[in-house]
Amino acid sequence: MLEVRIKKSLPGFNLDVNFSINQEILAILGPSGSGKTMTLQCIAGLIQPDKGYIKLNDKVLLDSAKGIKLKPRVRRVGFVFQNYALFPHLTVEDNIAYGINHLPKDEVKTRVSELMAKTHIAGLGSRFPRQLSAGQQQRVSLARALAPEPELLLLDEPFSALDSQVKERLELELMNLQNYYKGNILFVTHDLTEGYKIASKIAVYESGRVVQCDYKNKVIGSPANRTVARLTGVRNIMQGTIESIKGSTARVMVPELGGKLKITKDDVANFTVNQIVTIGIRPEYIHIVDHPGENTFLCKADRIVEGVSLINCFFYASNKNTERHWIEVSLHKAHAPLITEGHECYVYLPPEHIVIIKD
Amino acid sequence: MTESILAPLWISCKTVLTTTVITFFLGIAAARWMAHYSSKWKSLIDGIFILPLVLPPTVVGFGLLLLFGKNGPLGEFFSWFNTTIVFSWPATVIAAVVMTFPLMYMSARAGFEQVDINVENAARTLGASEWRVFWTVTMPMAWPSVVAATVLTLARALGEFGATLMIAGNIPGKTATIPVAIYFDIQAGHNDRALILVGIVLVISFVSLAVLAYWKRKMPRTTGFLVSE
Amino acid sequence: MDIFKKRFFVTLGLISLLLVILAVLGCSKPVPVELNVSAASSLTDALKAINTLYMQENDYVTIVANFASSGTLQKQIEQGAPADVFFSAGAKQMNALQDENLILNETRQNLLTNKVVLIVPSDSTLTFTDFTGLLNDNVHQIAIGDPASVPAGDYAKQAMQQLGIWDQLQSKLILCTDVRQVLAYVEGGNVEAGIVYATDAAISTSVKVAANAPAEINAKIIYPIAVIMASQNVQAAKDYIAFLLSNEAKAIFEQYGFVVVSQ
Repeated sequence: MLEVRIKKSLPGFNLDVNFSINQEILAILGPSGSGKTMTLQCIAGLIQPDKGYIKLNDKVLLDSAKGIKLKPRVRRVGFVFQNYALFPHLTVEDNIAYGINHLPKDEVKTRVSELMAKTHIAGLGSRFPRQLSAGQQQRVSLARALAPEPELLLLDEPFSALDSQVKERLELELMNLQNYYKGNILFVTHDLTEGYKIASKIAVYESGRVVQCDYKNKVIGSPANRTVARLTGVRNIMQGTIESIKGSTARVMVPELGGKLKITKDDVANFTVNQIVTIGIRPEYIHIVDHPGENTFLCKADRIVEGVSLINCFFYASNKNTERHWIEVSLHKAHAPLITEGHECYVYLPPEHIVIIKD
Repeated sequence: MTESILAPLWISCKTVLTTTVITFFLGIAAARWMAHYSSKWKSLIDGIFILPLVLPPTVVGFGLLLLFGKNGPLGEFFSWFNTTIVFSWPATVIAAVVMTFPLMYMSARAGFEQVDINVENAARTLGASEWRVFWTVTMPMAWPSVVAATVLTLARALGEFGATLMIAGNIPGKTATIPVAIYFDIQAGHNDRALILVGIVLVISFVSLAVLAYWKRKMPRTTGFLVSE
Repeated sequence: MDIFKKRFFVTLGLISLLLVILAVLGCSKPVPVELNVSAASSLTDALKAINTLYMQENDYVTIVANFASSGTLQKQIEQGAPADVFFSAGAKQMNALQDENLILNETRQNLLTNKVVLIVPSDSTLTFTDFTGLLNDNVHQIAIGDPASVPAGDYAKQAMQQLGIWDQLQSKLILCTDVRQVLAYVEGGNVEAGIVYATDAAISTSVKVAANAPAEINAKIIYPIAVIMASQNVQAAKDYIAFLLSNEAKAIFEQYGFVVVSQ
């Protein structure tokens, strides 16, 4: 169980975060400079917040009201740095053993070899960091942090400097981590896909604040604000006014589309009639259909961008009374209808995939 | 003639070795303190530490004389213990330590500041005390700078003249170091003795530089990685 | 005429005008002379006063005085340092230069004598009858000029040898670069005693004379002066030495405690 409530004021930036997790993996997602690394460093005790309260399991690490401030070395928090931060003058074995070398020699040896096996770096024990590849170095960094059996593991953008193949492999290994590490895990990433894969909960940061901290499906399905929506891949963000709510169905007037949208979502009950809201939908959920109907609008294709496996189409609603914002649609090449620029077609927004955000 | 060469040689040996040891620890301690210290006094303290480097040695020597002399604060302090510092062998060490301290301090500090703070932080999260972080992480990573600084210190101590002459004076057999002996030999016209001493200093300097170069090559490089997966 | 030619001729005209003015100014006075006088440290104060007087009376002469131990000055002259006059505190250094044909022999003469004395800080409680008192345990350190290059130091050594105390005093001796340094050490109170000239003791208020050197030693003290062979201003140098022999200069020397050798 980890509870974090900290505040720190710097020129031009204010950190004010509040969240907690319980034996799970939390991904901290947010743009650069939003305070993610600073939070990790405060939790580890490497920098001090102006005031706050941090409790890990049954130990209070920080309580500014009571004057409690534990030094990093007693917090039992493992840290994996973005640039690995291995000890260049020590071998891999000595790096991993650094935090446990007060233990009897045989126990140290056993633990080190176990960890090396689990992180798939067995046999590299007597090499120096400069003789390893980036992926290997990151594995050593992880093994080293795990050796003292910390109660909390912090990872600061652990895979950002790796190429995609290595990254995918390491992501899988991190997911398997829970098989042999039972503590809390917090990791910072700017990659939504990675965060979604590995974590059970996601905390979204913006300008030093946590704007949403929830189970990942809730964050994706019900983003708390536009930033979360954008960060989690919701596009086609438009404004609308709620005209009616019945049960879990709402009808919203969206001037940009020139019509009404039907939305079916559990949390529509949180909204009221005539409320101005922001709605959005992921590009991959929009369908191209061949006839008009509910939630279907006539649009003209303005731009087609062909990717390796997807085609991104950018449409303008054909209704001449609307503001000109793109509607972005993502289609799999495997079953995409042939569309060319200038082509007119019907675009269908499924009511269960439209996201509604309080503005 | 051998007496007049062995005496300064022996005195310089004692002085240089003692000075190097003292300056090594003092300089590293000061560098460690100042490397990650931030306060409005930082520039002032830094300036005081570097002062002997920018002042002429005779000015520094004069300052030391005022300090340790009969009427100076430290001179009076030592006289309580029936000791006089000026014109004694310890004065050669004091002069050399004061003149070499800025070199050790600046080089060591630069070395420490270059050490990636994340690596030091990693050690902290792994349970290391500040002392352990310093000796097992910071120092090994800054080692090339520290070694270079020590060699510089040794060389500077060997050649220290102005301040030494001021507070230790020329007492053959007691405080006359090699540079002082060379100066007075030349004054007196004993060019042959002076040349032998100069030769000895040159040999020691070359040997020190060679040792430094050899050690630099042998030290493992502590940055970068070579292989990609 | 184009602009460049015009500028060229104007510049040329100005330079010519300048040269004419300088020539006219130059002709109305004797050619200015810079005289380099290398003199022993013990002469510092007396000679500075004399030099000021000389320059007042002869305003085309500028005296650049270089004070150091006689040994240092001898070395400098041997190495070719510019000097017109050498005023030494000992015959040994002048002899060396004479042997090397670096002086104009006919200009060499003995000008002054001095006395060598033992001085102590003025607040010292030590008393001496003569130099043998230096053996006393209360005397920890004694400053003297380096006998090898400082005449006063050499006389100090001779005095101590004559009294049979030279060997025993070795470990207490601090050898200095010149008499003024000895004086400074004693003034500062960092040594218990020093040996300097009586003239040096006289200019300082922080030291007092405690004893005199044996008479035989004092009798040997001589300050010779000569014109350097390589001098570019031989006549001016000779004129300067002539002034030093005058009554005006004699009065100043005696004021500072020197004894002028009768010519």
